[in-house]
Amino acid sequence: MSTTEKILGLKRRIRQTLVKERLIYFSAGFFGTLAAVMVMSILLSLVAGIVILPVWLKIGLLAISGLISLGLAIKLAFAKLFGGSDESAALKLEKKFPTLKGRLIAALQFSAIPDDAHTGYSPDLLAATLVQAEEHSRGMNFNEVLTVYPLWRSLRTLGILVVLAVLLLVVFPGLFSRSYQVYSNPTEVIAPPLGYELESYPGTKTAIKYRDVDLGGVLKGGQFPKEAVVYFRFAGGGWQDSKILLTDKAKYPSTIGDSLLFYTTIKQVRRSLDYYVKAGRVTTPIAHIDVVDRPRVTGLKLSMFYPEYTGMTPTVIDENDGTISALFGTRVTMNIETNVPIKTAELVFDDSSITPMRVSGQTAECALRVEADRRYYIHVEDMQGESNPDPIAYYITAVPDEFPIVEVVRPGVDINLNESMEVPLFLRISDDYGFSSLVMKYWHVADGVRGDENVAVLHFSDNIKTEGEINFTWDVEPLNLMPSDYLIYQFELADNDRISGPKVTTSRAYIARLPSLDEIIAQTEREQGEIINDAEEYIKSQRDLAERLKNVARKIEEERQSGNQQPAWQQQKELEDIAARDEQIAEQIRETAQKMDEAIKRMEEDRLASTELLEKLNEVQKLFEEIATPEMREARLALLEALKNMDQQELDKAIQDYEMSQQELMQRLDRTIALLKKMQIEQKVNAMTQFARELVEKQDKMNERTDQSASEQLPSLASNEDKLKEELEQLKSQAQQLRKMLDETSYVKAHDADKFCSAVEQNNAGDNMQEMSQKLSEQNKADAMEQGKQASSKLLSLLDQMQQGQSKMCQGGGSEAAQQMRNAIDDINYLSAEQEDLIHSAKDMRYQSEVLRDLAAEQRLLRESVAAVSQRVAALGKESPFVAAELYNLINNALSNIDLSIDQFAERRRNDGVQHQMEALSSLNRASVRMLDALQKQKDCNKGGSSCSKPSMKMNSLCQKQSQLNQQTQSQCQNPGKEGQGAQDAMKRLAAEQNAIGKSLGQLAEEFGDSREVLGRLDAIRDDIDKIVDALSSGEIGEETQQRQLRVLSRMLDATKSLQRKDYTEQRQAEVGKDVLRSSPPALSGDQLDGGLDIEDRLRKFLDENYPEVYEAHIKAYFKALLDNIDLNKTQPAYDSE
Amino acid sequence: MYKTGLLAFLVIVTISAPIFAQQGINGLVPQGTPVYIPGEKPPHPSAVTAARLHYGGGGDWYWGNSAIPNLLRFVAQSGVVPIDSQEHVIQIMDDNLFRYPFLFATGHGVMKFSNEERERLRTYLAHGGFLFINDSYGMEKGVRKEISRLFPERELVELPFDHDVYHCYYDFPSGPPKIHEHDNLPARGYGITVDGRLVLYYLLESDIGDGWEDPQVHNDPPEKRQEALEMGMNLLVYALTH
Repeated sequence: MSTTEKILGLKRRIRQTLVKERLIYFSAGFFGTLAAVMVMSILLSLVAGIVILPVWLKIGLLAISGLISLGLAIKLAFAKLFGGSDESAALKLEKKFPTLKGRLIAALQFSAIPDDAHTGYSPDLLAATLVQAEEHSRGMNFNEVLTVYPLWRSLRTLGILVVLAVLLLVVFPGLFSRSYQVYSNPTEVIAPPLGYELESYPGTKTAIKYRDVDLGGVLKGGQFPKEAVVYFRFAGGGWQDSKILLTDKAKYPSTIGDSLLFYTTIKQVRRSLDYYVKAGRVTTPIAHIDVVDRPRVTGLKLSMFYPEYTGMTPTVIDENDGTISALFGTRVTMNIETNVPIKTAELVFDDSSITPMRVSGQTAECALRVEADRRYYIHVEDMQGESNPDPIAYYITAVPDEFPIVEVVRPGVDINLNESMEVPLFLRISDDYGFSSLVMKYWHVADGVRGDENVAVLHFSDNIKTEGEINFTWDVEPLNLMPSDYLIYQFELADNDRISGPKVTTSRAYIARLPSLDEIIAQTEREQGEIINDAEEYIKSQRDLAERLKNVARKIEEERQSGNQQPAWQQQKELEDIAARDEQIAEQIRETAQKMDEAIKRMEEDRLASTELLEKLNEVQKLFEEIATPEMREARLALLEALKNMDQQELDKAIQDYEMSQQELMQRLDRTIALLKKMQIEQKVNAMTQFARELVEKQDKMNERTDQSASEQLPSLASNEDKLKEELEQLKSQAQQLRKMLDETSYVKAHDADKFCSAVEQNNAGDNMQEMSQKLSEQNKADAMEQGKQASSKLLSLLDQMQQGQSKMCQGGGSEAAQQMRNAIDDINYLSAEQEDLIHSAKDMRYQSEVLRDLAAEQRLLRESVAAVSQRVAALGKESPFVAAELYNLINNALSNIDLSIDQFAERRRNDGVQHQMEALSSLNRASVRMLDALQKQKDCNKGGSSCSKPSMKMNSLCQKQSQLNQQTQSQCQNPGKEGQGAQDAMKRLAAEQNAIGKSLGQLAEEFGDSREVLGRLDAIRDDIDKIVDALSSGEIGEETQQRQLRVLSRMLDATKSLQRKDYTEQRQAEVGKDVLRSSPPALSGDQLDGGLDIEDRLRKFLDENYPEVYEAHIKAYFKALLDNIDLNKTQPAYDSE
Repeated sequence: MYKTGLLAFLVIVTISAPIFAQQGINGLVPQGTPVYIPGEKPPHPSAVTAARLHYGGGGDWYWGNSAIPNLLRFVAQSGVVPIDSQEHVIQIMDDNLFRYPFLFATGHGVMKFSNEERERLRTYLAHGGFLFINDSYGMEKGVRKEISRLFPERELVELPFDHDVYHCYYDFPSGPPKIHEHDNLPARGYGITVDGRLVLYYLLESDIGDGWEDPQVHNDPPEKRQEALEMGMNLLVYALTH
């Protein structure tokens, strides 16, 4: 080792010792500084704990403490790092190791001398010194010079301070934290710690929208402040506060332990909010309440799937309404939407049953069937477990499939069947969802015994789905009802409910009764009698009124004579009463006219009256309607007006006019009653004839039944024959009634009527009927048949006689009336001509000529003639309803004007007289024309009427001949032993007669002008007649021939009746039509068109079928033309005037 | 121009229409049989023949003997259709029913068919035939009843005014003409349609049949008679072209 190296090693060792020493002192200084800092901290903490340090002081203390600490750290610690030197270290070593004797110092100093420096020392000396220093120190432990005492001391001090601090911490736990709080906020004055703590309540959390939220705080500790303030701010809003008085014992009665909860309640929060609480000096941090919605159902959709049988298409109800009202059995699917995603959804029913829904996010769905009336609500729950608030209660109404309705609109009441034997039915059916069947059930009740149930299925249009009207006519003729039999019928309508089964509604049971003719006649006669009674009552009432009016007029006159010019109040009142009563009677007359109109309609339906009679009755009915004329009403109003005006002259005139109108009304009523009574007789005759015709038919049917029945069945027919006999007796009884009516009325054809009655009364068919009944009871078919035929023959003969009688009565009445009318027309025309001559005479005279008085005398003579005509017309009016009331007025007007002209001429006022003559002439001429109209109507009635018409009369005559011929033939048959040439001649004569009747029928047909009209009715007779002629000619007459003859007679009688009706119908239609503008019926529906095929389809359809070739060609040509035509139609109007 | 075309077309139809009316009776009438009714004057071979229907039930089917001849004469004079102007009378069960494409029924009373007649009439109508029922008055009840039996599945409906039958030759914009007054009701035309074709036309409250009659029969004014004949022409043209 070189010297240098040794020196350097020595120096390094010294340096190391120095460094170690420095570190020890630094450490000691550091810990000492720490101890000083701790002392200052404790002191500062104690200060902060004892007093509230103002900021400046606090900052000052901190600054001083800092500076001190810094100074101490520099001085005690950091300065030590640089303290001492190698020499000082060497000296300490020298001192420690005296054996060194300064060598270390010397070595350090010599080593510091550079080599080239000229210090005067010998380098060797220097080197030797250095070496010696190194060598002497080599075994020495330099660390011995170092001491750690300073470090230990510092650490000890620090340890003591730490212990002190811990003690302080234990004794004053919040001392240092408080100190930290105070000094860590140097710019704030930190109050000394309070005795309580404050936390916000409920802190930061989520609240449900529209719910109440409590905001407040929790105080913990003691010595709470007296009040607290809750500050809150809704999103987007400003801060609001709510003070809470914490001393309110009522609200906060006590604390729980050492805490107190206080809050204020925010009602129904809708938005999120921030809040904090301040109590005393404590303020909590801002907390946040996040307001969220509860789950709610925001959308609700129902899909209804109705039972298939209803044919209803499914419907969707998207109205957010869960109310379900649907047909029983309807399937409903429900879809809901919610405002927030939901976890569960379910329908909760009133019986606590639950139908869960399938949930998907914010939607849910379920299906249910409507089977009962229920109530439910929808319950949903969100992910937080919140459920929808206040769910709405919905109702499910299971609408039952109602019973169908069947209503019999027409007839709607029990009816009597008329001759047509048809029941016009008009049904109205309805159901909510359609029908499955409609049947009619009916029972035939004969002799009070109800027969088996019959069922007829009624088919109706497919267009009737849920309601409709069915119009049909039930032909009951095949049921072979007998008079007094009736049908009970009802309808059963079933709906198409396939869920609960078809429901059946049964209509009310109605009765269609075939009344016996005597019932119809009795009813008609009763109605007629009532009408006549009513009319007689009106006359009586009018007479009373006339009497009252006279009295009033007399009293008014008396009052006037006594000087009182105005009628007294009582008389005014009486006149008002008379007018009111008069109006009432006029109204009653109108009602009676209406009643009569209905009665005529019924008669027409029941075929109770002949055409002529119906015509006449219609005219009488019109007369009834015209009884109360507008003039009468005006007279009544004029009377009331005069009373109101209190004008004496006006009143006198009004009373006079009113009296005249009353008289006219009574005349009209009187005439109407006379006509009605005449009609009543004719009607009775007609009804009896019809009754007899029915009797003939019934007896014929009875004979047929007898012929077709087995022997053991015959006794059961006996009672029917007895009934027929009773009916014949009724006919005779009616004949007696007719006689009574004839006795009460001055009927002009009483003689013919008497013969008519006698024919009925003397007929002895009843004996044969009784005999037949007896034979039927004895099961003697042959004799019963024989008696039946005789009865039938006698009845047929009776019918013929009755028709003849009826014809004579009618013939006389109609033509006589017509003749009287002709006479009246001639008279009026003659008087008109006379009047005209007088006018010319008057015009030729000078004005105020004396001769005018002579003219007045001539005019007076003319007046008498006119008055005579007037009386004849009045009498005629009671015979013929066609003589209108207007005719009377015209003649009376002529009379009045003649009277006035007489007066004028008597006073030699020519011009005025001529004026009235002219008016009289005009009235006469008009009366003539009007009478001509009446004559025409009368003739039309005779012509178009029944047995009065010429062809009908001829037919009646032929019927009579046929009847006689039948009797003669029957007589021949009953005397079979009479043979020989005489018998053959007789037969031939009968054949000739029968042939003549046949020819006459042909001629009669030609007279009608349309051969088919008669032939159509009588074509079947002709064949029979030919066969009868053949049989009679050959002399081979027998049962068959007799039957054929009866049939011929029957058909001839029937044809007569048919002609009457047809003629009546013709009369009703003979008017030219008037165009009526109306809107078009609706277009035909697809059903009604029956899905019409287009032309190509039709062509295809036809060609698919096998036709001969020649036809195919035609078919193709046809369709080609059709297609061309269609194209043509598309471009051309429907009608080209060219 | 239009009428010329229509004339040409109708000539073809004239030949072919009776053939269509025979579909239901193939086999009944041997091929080559002359088209006329035995005992009557044979018509022109290509002439259209219209017939009066002799129906049962008691109604006066024969009513108005001058009606059909006048109509046929009117049609013949128009030159549109070569038509046999002689009236033919036919019953439903007659073998020759299918020779007639057009049947005319009228009267006042009851119209009634037997079951066999109904069946045959249905076949006739469904295969090209046409029945015109003119209610001269009082037929309604019977006709409706009979039609309901004839076509129980179909409804007798009033035809709208734009129906071809009112426009196919002459124009009747307001529907059927009112010829005769009966009950002060407007004229109404009802129909039954099969496969889109009107096969039965029932005219109520019009009585064009009376309008076809000689002038002195009902004293109808000339314009009314003309209307009636024109409507008859329309019916005939419709029956032949549809």
